[in-house]
Amino acid sequence: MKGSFRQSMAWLHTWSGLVFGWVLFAMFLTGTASYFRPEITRWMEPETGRPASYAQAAQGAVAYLTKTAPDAESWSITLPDERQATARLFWRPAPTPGEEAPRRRGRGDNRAVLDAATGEPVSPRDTRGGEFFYRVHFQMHYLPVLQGRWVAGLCAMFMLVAILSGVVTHKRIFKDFFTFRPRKAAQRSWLDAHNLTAVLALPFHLMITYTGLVTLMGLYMPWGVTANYKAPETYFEAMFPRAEEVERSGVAAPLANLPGVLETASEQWGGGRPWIVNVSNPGDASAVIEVTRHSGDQLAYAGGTLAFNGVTGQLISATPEPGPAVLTNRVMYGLHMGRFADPILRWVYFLCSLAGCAMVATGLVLWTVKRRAQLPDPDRPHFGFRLVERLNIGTIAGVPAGMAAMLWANRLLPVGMAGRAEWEVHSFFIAWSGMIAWACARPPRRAWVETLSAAAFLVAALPLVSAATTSRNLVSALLTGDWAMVAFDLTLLALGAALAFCALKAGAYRSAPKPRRRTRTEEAPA
Amino acid sequence: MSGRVVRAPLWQRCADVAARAVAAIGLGYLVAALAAAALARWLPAPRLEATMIGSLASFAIFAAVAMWAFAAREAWRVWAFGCLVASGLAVLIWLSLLMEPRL
Amino acid sequence: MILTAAFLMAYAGFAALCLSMTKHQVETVGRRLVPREQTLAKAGGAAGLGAAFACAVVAEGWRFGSVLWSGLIMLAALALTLLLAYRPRTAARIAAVSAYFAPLLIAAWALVTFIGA
Repeated sequence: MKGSFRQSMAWLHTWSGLVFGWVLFAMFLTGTASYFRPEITRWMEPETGRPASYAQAAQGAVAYLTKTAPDAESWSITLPDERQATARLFWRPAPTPGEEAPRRRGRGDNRAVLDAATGEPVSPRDTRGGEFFYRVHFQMHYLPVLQGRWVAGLCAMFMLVAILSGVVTHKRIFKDFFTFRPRKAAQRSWLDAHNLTAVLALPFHLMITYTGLVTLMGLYMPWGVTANYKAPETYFEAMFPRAEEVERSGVAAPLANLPGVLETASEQWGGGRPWIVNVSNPGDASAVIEVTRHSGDQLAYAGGTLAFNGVTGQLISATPEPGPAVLTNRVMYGLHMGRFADPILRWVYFLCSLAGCAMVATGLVLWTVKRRAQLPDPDRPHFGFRLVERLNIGTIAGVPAGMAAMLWANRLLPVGMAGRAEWEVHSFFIAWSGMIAWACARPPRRAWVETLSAAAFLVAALPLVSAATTSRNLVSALLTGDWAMVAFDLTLLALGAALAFCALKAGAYRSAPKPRRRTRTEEAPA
Repeated sequence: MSGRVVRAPLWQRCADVAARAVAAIGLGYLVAALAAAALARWLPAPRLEATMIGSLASFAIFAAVAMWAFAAREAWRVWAFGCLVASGLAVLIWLSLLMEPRL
Repeated sequence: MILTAAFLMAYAGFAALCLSMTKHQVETVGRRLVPREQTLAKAGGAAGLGAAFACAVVAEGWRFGSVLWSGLIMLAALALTLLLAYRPRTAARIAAVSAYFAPLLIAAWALVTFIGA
């Protein structure tokens, strides 16, 4: 481009930020919520109980599987950690002779969800739970999964470009480090707010964007693998070494005591927690128990797998230590997922991630604030300006409203309804598009106040909706000391209050005395 | 933003931006992919490690090319130089495949 | 306890760094600092951030500690900047109180951990 490097980067920052901004905002906000994926799932499955120790859950799982699927080819148990109330079971039935065993995981018929404490099967209402926010933040919805992931990848790539070009554009990163002037002219204070949320949490934004791309590296950049390996399987074997499969011997032998095996595994890991337990040939003399370490135990997401003799409980083998580059990859993956055990660290992640949402939102608003001053006739903006303004309102207020609407649907849709989980998801998109439609129908300043107020109401009323429709409520959570659910309700209230504060601010701008100064930039929507 | 004194006609500016955008996304991806493959082949490390380093670095390369596509003085320079780099990388990959086949 | 100390140290550290910048001096302490005081503020700021790092590492180990420290200082800087915009004097006072209480918290933590055990 003509002009200086900085000018061209400012242009790139503005337009890449605008074009991808709305999707990025939705990705950032749903991703932020995903740091509390297990808690959201627990809230959305009020039929489930409380978290319990993994040893207790393992005992229940083995008892259930021995009764239900004694002859299975393999069992897989995802143990709960201190944030989850259920163990998730899956088993692969023994192949009938002469029939090729299905390699793909079946649906429904060989899965079970057990209460972590009692080991009894529970059937929670049909819901995607926190999993939906997690999935939608990197693969969209209503799109084939791979296409959705490519869309997310393109957005993330341009997020990275927007961050880097933004750093180049920002002339006074260190001079303005602590600067926020909310009482200055609209453009100034919005720019300050954008800089503030971007610069102060810059390490987080860079980390989360780059590592986000790395989590789906196998899809986006398979070419290094292609260049070195003829078949992708060779690569996967090198990357994820597994114990060799053993043939069933036909000699019956009881399974080793699983809690004992888990204890040994935990000792091997210096106190690490087991997460996924895989038992091949249960009830046979050739049984093997593979225990995979919890992914939140270390920075590296893959904690390694230990294989035990399924009858004697002796340790057979462990996955080898990865090389430095592979370890870097896993640490990047782990940093993105933030499944670390410590609740404080998780809250820090959550707040930094909220700052990221604010960065995207203030950037989008700044686009309109900056251009409003230059409009030939500010009362009749051109189509492009109106479109951006409406989409800003409909998305910044609409995504939180949509997320809340999904939780409303979780409580209000009849429990036995067919396609219930899908309709919960639909309600997310219905509410979001409803907000965009609302923003298009109303004058922008009214629309800001109304949509933000609606979002605030939808979020803040959730604890009440939950209390009215299920046994989950703030009082009972307080009385039973279920702190995760207490925090959940309080967080909803706080987020609702924050949205209401934004609505108030937007309303205050509207009612500001008009003619005192003649610049129109003064009364941009807040 | 640029040329506040003399503005080129609208279609020319649009064509310029389109040429740069396609270069940023398409050429950027091509160069990043080839660089990942070339690094995976040429880095003096075990195969798995080299593959990983190349792939991890590729996104930074992509971002650099995308930024340069908008920073360069003329759009055609991006295409010319980008294609040159891409063919250079392709030759490097081809050479290494001649010397040592894939696993 | 020690993580609270880490956050307070980070906050006080950033406040000192902020104080070393000419543009923030009048609004926070009411006067310009002389060059020697500015140098002192800078050193104090660096010391505060360093102490916060030490606390985070002691509490969580090298790996998680470094991650936690990066997160904590980002939040401390955000909190300071927001407070500075609306109540600059209060921001400075809180920094002084933090700088005073953080070492006390660390001492209390050390007492509980080493002598209590």
